[in-house]
Amino acid sequence: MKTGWFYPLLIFFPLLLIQIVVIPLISLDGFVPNLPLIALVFFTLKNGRLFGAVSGFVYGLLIDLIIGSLIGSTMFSFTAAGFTAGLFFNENKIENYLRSYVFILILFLSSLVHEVLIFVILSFGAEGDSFTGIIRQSIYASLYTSLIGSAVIILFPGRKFF
Amino acid sequence: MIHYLRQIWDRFRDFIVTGFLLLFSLFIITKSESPSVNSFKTFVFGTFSFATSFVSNVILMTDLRSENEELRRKTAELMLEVNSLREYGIENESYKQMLQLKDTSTLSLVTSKIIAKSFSPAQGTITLDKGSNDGIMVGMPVINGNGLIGIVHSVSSAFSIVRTLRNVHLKLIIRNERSRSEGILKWTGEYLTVTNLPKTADVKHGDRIVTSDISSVINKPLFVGRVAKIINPESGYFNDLIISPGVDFNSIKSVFVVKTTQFPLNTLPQTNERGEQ
Repeated sequence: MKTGWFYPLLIFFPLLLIQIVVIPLISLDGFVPNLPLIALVFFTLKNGRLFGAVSGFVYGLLIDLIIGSLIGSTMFSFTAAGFTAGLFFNENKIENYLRSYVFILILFLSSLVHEVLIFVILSFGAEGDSFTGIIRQSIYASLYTSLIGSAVIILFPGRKFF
Repeated sequence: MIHYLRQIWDRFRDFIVTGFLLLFSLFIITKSESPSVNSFKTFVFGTFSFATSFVSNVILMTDLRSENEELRRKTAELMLEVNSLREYGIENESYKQMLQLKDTSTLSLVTSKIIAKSFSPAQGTITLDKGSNDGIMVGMPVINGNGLIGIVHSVSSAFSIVRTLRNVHLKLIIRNERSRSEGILKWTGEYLTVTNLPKTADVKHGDRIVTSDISSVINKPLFVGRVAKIINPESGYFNDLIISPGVDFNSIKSVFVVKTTQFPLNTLPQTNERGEQ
């Protein structure tokens, strides 16, 4: 069932508030799960890739403005991550995806796209950043996001993990 | 023709829109340091920070008891340290009088709470609950009892955003406190490093690293960290150092902004000839 634009926007602000105030308390060596990205992937799988790209763009714009990051960086990475998640959109399999491990895999992939892109954008021009370092950091961050994102499957009614 | 274009649009609409949004994002990145974009950003983060500040205060209240105990212990430790430093101070004062040096320090501290942290390892920003109303300006250093945390990057009337040492865009001139050798400190995304240090420079594992007084941003010696590893490539004239920061960035909750009259306003976005912010 499609959600439309209202719920994703409504849920964004409380999620962002939790993300920047509460989530740092559970950081592991500086890595924190990305709640807005989990929401983005969730809503994208329900609404399609165009929805994913546009809502990723809006989420990213708001994040850049609110946390004071380089404006445009999260816009870019969230747009790409939303579009990536949207590539797996299938109207007949929405419920199956959101109830199973497939959601975690898609979340991991989207998170990896976001982390790699934002790392490359932010460290553009900075010396010393290695490709393996970027990939390693991105994988750690994506794994943590996917781990927390697995709560969606647990909370989703009628779940079947495998 | 129109029919043909419509067919293309219908078929590739998602790709076209996504491509446009990605290009637009890149365009915005190129404009990110313009004054109008910065003032809009300051307005938005200032507005949202009121909500962040409220939630943060509620959460911090539950944490106050353990923090109080920690502060009491720290006070006792500092009292012991002050006693020994006082002796050095008296000695130093007499040397200054002998050399006819003037005391130029104009430091004062503003206590501030962290109400928000960025959530990507490369972003490295924190939001403070104090802004220009409290005399905070762009370029002021931010510290806690364990050393330098970062530099104020944007300021609204009631809040400010700090670029921490874990921000890839922050570069600082630092000094080895023991040997006085200097280098440029930066965050690579994984490590805090000092690059381009001549191989002849005297550096040892565990040396204290402080900010250099020749820096245009922080011209006071503030503790940054200790040398954790010396990378000594076989070729070339320079060594790199990996620095273990004094501050644990994951656990900081409150900070001090160092107010001094010596920081020129809005110096931060520019880069000087040494590549330092």
